[in-house]
Amino acid sequence: MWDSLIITPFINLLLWIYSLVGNLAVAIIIFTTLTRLLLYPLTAKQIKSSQAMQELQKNKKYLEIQEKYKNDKERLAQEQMSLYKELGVSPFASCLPTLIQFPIIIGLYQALIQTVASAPMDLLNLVRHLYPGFLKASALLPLNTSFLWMDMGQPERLIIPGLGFGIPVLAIVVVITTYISTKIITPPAQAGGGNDQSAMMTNMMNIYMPLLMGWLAWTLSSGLALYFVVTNLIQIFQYAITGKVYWGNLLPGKKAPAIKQSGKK
Amino acid sequence: MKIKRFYVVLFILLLGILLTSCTSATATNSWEGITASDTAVYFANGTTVVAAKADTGNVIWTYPEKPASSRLFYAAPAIAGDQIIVGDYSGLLVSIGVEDGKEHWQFTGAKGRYIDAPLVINDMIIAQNADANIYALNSNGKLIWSFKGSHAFWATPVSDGTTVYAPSLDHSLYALNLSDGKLKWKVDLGGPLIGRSVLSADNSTLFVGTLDKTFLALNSTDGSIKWKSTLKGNIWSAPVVLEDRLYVGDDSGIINMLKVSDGSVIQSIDVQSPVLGNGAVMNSNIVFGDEKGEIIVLGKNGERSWTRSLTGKLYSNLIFSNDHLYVLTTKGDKPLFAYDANGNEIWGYTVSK
Repeated sequence: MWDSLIITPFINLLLWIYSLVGNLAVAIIIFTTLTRLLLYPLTAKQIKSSQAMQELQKNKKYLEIQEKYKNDKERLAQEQMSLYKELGVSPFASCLPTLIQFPIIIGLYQALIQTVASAPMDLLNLVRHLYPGFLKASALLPLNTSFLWMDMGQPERLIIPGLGFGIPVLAIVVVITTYISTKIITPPAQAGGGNDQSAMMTNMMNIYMPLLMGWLAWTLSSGLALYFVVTNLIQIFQYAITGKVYWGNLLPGKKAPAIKQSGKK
Repeated sequence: MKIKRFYVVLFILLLGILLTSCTSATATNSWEGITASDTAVYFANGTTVVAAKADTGNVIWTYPEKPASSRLFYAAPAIAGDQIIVGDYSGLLVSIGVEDGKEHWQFTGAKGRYIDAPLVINDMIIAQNADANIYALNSNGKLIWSFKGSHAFWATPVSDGTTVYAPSLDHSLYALNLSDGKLKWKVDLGGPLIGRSVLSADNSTLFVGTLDKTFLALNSTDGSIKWKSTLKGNIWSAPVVLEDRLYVGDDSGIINMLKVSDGSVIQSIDVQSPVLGNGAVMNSNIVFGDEKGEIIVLGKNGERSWTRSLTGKLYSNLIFSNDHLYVLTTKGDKPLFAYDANGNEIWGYTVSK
């Protein structure tokens, strides 16, 4: 079910693009861009909902409720729900698009893994995923997985003569772009390292998530690392055109308000 | 505050595990290879290479002493005198003592995976690699020559003692001088070559199948095509040659019986499950394994002699040596079985993975 609805179509789409461009890395870039564009309406909805929630946290009435019922969690929850209703904000509205996107993104990720077949069993699975009559395995395979100094099927390292070790350029780019994509959407009040718990959690996520993604990019095939980079870049672009981005968060020690506000609320 | 921090770290760790588990298939998905001498059987088993006694299946040794997930063994080992030569997925080719499993030397020149066994001929080790190179080493592991193709070499080459014939995923079969690795000829066969090729008894003809559902006979002197036969499925393994007939398994679940002379199909034996591993000649019979876990023994004319059903899938090459049929299973209850020629189980062996 999962295979036939998600992974197989993705693999066939990716390889169809590959059959047009003749390079797996270029196909991954186009494929990732296309799928992210298709998911854009959901992403936009999610961004807008989360921004509405952020705005709510600055609402005078909201702050009063927090203060008034800080020792009565049950009442606090009730009052918050009333306020949500009154202002027409749903705390779950930002979760739903994410939940819908999540299986698609996981499927995308699995399709990429299965496409970069570098062992007999992987190749067997890949051949079985191809729609008969749509793509011909013998014409497509072996895939051209070379891109610049990288092999999309292997972890990426840039070898510089005399250095003695390879530099994981793509993993570094993944860390940087993940950091930027998470940091620029965090309101300065949270990014600035406030004392409240949510600020602390946001700051931890901003540090650990790029490191996790970097570690994955360092250990997994460069095709996946490239996917992470393209996804991050598109995400940054989407945030920039959809809502508020806090570029000031990227400057060390800067705790300024939003530098750019391009969102239409 | 500490509890919240704990949950954040836990969430990120779980996310890492989820994403990594999505990819674990990439790192470990393949079937293991096997080879045998009269007294022992040697097989790859994921993180180890195992030597077991041929008559009992008892372990003689395992290599390396400390298995590591960074070193995965799927390629079949090769026997070179008192050495076992085996490559791993990290690109390391090692020599191990036949008797004690101790490492003699390492060859670190390759950058890709070793998918199948190296060829041992004339005191030389011809190791094909997924980095698109073929490396020729002496018995001490010193590089004699290397040849760069355009894409991965997976299957073990064959040789008549003067020429090495190497199938490649780039659709071509390469003929190289054994002594210096110079290219004699190469021929594009229209599809990736995954399985091994086989030389005829007089070394005049090469038989090889492609992932384009084509099986071919080539003139070994110049690579010209003698004949080709289009089959129902893709060919993932070497044919079995018995007298004037070829037996070729394909992924549509057919064992094709062809005439050696012209490739015409004598019979298509439908086993209803993909046949991906090499078959073997077993006395006057032919034996294949299929994906649903069945061992199928056929007489020369295609009549079924016996079958056995195992749990797991039979993708690996079958070996018949010294009256023992060795069968490696993939995802089976036991990874390795030994049968006699009549289908009686001699031993089954469980190795902790």
